[in-house]
This record gives sequence, structure tokens and C-alpha cells, in this order.
Amino acid sequence: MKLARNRRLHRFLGKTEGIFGHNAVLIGGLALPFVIMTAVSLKNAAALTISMLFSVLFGVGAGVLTRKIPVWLRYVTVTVAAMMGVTLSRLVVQHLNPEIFDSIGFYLPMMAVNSIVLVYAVERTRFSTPGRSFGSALACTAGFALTACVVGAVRELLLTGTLWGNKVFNITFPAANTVFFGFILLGFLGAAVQEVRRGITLINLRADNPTTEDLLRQQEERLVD
Amino acid sequence: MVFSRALGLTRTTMALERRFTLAVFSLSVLFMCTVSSVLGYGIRYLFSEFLPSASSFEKQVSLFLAVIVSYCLMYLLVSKLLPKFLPLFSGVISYAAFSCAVYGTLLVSAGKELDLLLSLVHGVGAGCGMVLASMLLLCGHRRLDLRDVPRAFKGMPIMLLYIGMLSLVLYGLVGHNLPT
Amino acid sequence: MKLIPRDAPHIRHSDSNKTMMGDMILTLLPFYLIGVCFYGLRVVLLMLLSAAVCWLADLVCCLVRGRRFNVRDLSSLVTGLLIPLLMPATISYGVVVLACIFAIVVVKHPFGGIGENLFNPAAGGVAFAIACWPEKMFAYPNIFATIPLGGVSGVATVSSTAYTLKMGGVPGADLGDVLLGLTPGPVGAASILVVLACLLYLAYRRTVPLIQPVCFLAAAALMAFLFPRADIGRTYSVAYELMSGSLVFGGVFLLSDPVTSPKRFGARALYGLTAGVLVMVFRRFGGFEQGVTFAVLLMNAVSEEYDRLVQYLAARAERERRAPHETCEE
Repeated sequence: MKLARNRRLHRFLGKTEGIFGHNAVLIGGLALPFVIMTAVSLKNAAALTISMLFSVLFGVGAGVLTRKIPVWLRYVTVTVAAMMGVTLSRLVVQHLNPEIFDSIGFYLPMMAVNSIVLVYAVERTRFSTPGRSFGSALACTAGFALTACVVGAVRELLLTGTLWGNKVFNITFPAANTVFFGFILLGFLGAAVQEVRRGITLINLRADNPTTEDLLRQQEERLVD
Repeated sequence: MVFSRALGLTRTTMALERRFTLAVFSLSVLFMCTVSSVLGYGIRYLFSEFLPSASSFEKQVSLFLAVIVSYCLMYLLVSKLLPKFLPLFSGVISYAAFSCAVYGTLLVSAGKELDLLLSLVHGVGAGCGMVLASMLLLCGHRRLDLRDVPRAFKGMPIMLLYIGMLSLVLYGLVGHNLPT
Repeated sequence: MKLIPRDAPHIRHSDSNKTMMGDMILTLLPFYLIGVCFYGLRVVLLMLLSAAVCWLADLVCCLVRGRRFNVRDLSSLVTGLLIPLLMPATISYGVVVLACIFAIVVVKHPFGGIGENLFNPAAGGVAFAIACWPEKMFAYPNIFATIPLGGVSGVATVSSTAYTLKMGGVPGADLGDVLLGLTPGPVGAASILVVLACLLYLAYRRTVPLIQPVCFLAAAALMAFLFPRADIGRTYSVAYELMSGSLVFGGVFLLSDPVTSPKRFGARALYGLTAGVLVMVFRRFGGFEQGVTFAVLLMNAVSEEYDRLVQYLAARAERERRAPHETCEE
């Protein structure tokens, strides 16, 4: 069986783990509250991404520097460092839209205890090199950013018919900012990602390896010829 | 907390594989919510007495101290009272302590400016809610494992749909939008 | 001897999906007849639209899943018939369509499809509509009002008895009118006598276990008796609470879905009792005047636990019953 294309695909997915391979939010289920509760517009999603980036960088940095201390204490150092990152990110986010803090609310300081930081800064740094730790954490953040932006864009379009504040159409669906809608949207997005991945694997397999019916058909054509 | 604000969701779903882990996780959250609510009230009181002009973000960040102190207290208690179980529990305890459910409970009670008794009741209530939510999620996880779920939905997607349906039910009870 | 090949199983129960769903459809049609008398032909249009959308959505989902679509599976039609009965006659067609699509595409198929769904699809669709469009879902036209087939913006709408009770007010409607369905309310849920007659028919046909709705109504009545919401005396409180809104309708048609209900007798009784209490809790403390769909969904989530509990208790009782005999034999 020829598996060259699928092996290339899996290598690509391995390199992009957290983004496409095993999306941090949709498949890993990390940092769900932020996407479900606060990603109701593209601007919110961008603000969340910036905060996540700062908290992950600071958190993983602290995790790498404190590899020698006991694990239970590392949770404290990592989350304190992540909180410092979140505080810094606030200055950057302010420039996006000063009113954004009203819609994000207390989810911004909660970025310090988000699961991406804890998983990648505490657990993964124990067994990986600093470069790999930062790489995988950043890939996870990119996966989070992608998901948050898609969810934010869809919900903003449905809620107000706008995208980044610009009017696109007039239809509105007020329930798009409810919690259950966020869960259901994420569930379907996750299913779509899994199905697309499976579909690509199948297409690659069929392209390289003809099915039994194709082989029989080719045999018949050769006999006819 | 889980169904109306999506707090503590990630860690709960991670702990669903084993009932014992889930029980330890939810009880740890209950302990943390209770202790940190009292400590959080203390911090808010200090702020109101000595730093009344502090911004809400500064107060929110300072409340994190309550989480850290409660976590250290819980770790100390487990290491003294149940030293044999510490290697088994330490990961779960850390996950429970630094979950959005605990810190989120503190922030919600700070936002509502609850007094000591109400903060304690709120913390205990949130912890008990977490225990109930964990049990509901465990029921759902067990049932979904036996169902003929489509391939695309297997794993996290169907769990999210299940939680979404429960969230819809809670919306019928609470009846309001995103509470930030 | 002539041998006729047939597919397994060769010994079949007289009940099947087709017969059970057929009974349900038969019992739902009288509500539409009454609806036509009260509100006009718009009710029929809602019924046809809802049934068609549910059936199409079921077909599309089966094709997407790569499954063979069973034409004799009437479950999607039952869902399509149930949904408009829990809505006002003036509900817009778009709301009905979206509720049906939600019921089939979100509540039914991702959880496994027919026979595997965790939640009742009709209850899920109506709950979704209530959450998204509460002002449209609880605005009812007067009985015998002329409702056009198209846009209904000119039709005057009023609130129902359930809303009055929710606000703590005293319902102005006569009890006799409420019993006969001559008060504003959802299309199908107003005719209490018809609902009870349908319950008896479904129980006779063994489509619906009688114990479940009876325990449900008993628990709801007890809650209304113990905790009346309006200052009208306990007996009147029970009567108004049971006959307002879609409580009885939900107890008969939504709660007793054979897929989402428990299977054991004791579990069904407990299930019905808990559901009755929960509905009254939702009515009192919930954000909406109607709580039956949300209560049904929550009960669906924990229905298997009732079976598990009853099975455990039965096994324990059996062990205790056998234990003295085993000791004597030793």
C-alpha cells in the first residue's frame, strides 16, 4: 500500500499540531470559556489572542526557568508570570478598542489560569527543550487564535450583521451571544475539522491506492484491449 | 459555573475518564472555592480600607493571591493528612486550584460586592454546582460512549453539543445572556 | 415444501417504530383540527411546513452520514407535528423552520439518530425557539381571531394564563374555558380534555406507559397545592397550574418519548415524579412562563440513572431476600 502522501500529510499535521493537527480548542478542549463566552466579535477575538499570546509567552518562559523546582510550586510561578503577561497585554488591547474591557469583563485576568498556559508551561516544559516548549505553545496559541477569530466572526455576523464593525448585511440573530449557541457552534466546528481531516486522508489514500473495483475495471479494460 | 459561564469546563472534561479522578477534582474545587471566597473577601476589605482608588483590574489581579494561598493550604493539608495519596492527587489538585471555576467564582463575588457571609455562601454554592455539573457530565460521557455517534462528532465535539444542550436548559432557568 | 426467504428477525413484536409513531400521529391530528376551528388554516400550513422541513432535514442528515434513509421511519414526522403545537398560531414560518432544523440537525442526528438520541428533538427545537425568540413564542392570538396565512403583524396578541400566574396575578379566565381550551395559549396545549383522551388511547395501545404521565401530573399538582403562586386558594391553584400552558401536553407527548424515557416500571414512576417537581420549579424560578420543554430536556439527560438506581435497589432487595435461605441451607 502506498502511503507517501499520507505520511507527508501527517508530518505536516505533526508540525502544525495545535493549529490544524490537533486544534487546541476544538479537539483538545483547551481554553473553552474564553472562546464561548467572550469571542462574540472579531475585535474581541483579536483582544483575546493578544492576551493569550502574552500570557503564554510569560508563562512558558517562567516554566522553562523554573524547571528545577517542585511541580506543585511551578503552578504558582507560572500563573503569576502569566498574570504579569496579561497585565502587560492590557496596554496593547486598549489600543484596539477602549470599550473592549466591558465586553470581555473578568475573562481578561482569567487568562492567567487558562489551560493552554498550564498544560504547556508546567507539563510540557518538564520533558521538552525550551525551543520545543515555546514552539508548541505558540502553535497552540495560533490554534486558539484561529478558532476564536472564526467563532467571533460568525457570531458578530449573526448578532449585528457586521464584521470588525463594518456592516455586511441586515439579518440579525440575537441568540448568537448566548452560551449554548457558543457550545453548539464549537461542537459543529470541531466535527467539521475532524471530517475534513478524515476526508483529506481518504482522498490521499484513494489517489495512491486504487480500490478493488478500480483494479477489476482496469483488468477488464486490458482484456477488452 | 460550568453551564452558564463555561468556567472549569476544560479541566472537568479532562477528568471525565475516571470517576475517582472526577470526584477528587470536583471536591478540590469545592474546597478551593470555599476557602478562597473567605480570603478574597479579606483582600477586598483591605482594598476598600487602604486603597479605595484602585481600579477594578488591580483588584481582580490581587484576588489571585487568594487562589494561591488557598492552593498552598490545600496542598499542605493533603501532604499532612493523606501523604500516601499525594502522588496520585497532586496533579488533580493543581488542576482544580488553577481552574477558571475557582478564580471565576472569586471575580463574580467581587463584581457583585458580596459581604463575608454571602461570599462564603456563593463560594460553597459554586463548588456544589461544580460537583453536580461533574456528575451530569459523567452521566453524559458514559451514555455518549455507548451511542452510535457519527464519526465526525466522536470525542470533544459531541461532548460540546451535550454541554450546549444542558446550557440551553439552564438558560431556561436563568434566562439571560452572557454574564461578564 | 416452498421455502420463502425473509430477513431476520423472524419472530417480531407486534409493536414497531411504524405502529408507535403511527399512533402518535393519529393522536396529534385532532389538535390540528381544533386549531383550525380556533385559528384558521394557518395552523395547517404550519403543520405541513414543519413536517416537511423535519422530514427533509432527516433525509439530508441520513445522506450526509452515509446511512440508508428508512421511508417507514415516521419519527421525524412526529417531531414535525409536535413542534407547532407548542407554539402560538401567529408564530412566523421562519421560527418554525429553524426550530425544526435545530431539532433534527442538532438534537437528533449528532447523538446517533433514531433510537439513540439523548434528548427529545421536539422539546429541543421548542426550547431553542423560546430561548431565541421569547417575545414571539409567548404572544398568543385570541380564540376565533382571523389570522391571515401570510404576515401576522396586524393580529392582536395577548398573554396567556401561564403568564398571569408567573407574574403572581389572579387569572381572569373561567376554569371551564381553560379546561375546554377557550383561552389564548399554544395551538395544541390548550385542549386539556383532548390531551387526556389521547393519553388514554396511547396507554391502551401501549405506546406510552401510563405510570409516567400520571406520576408527572400528580407531582405537579402536589407542588401547585403546596406552593400556590397566586392568591386563589390551593384547589384553584392546582387547577390553573395544570391546565395553563403546555404542562399536560408536555407530560403526555414529550416526557413519554420511549427513546429518552427509562425502561423499568419503578424508574418511570420516579422519573415522572421528579419531572413534575422540576417543571414547577422551572415555572416558579425560571426566566420564561413555560418550563416544560426545559424540564423534559434536563430529565432526558439523567433518565438512565433512574434505571440504574432501580436496578441497583432491585438487585440489593433480591440479595437480601436470598441471603436468609442460603444461610439455612448451609
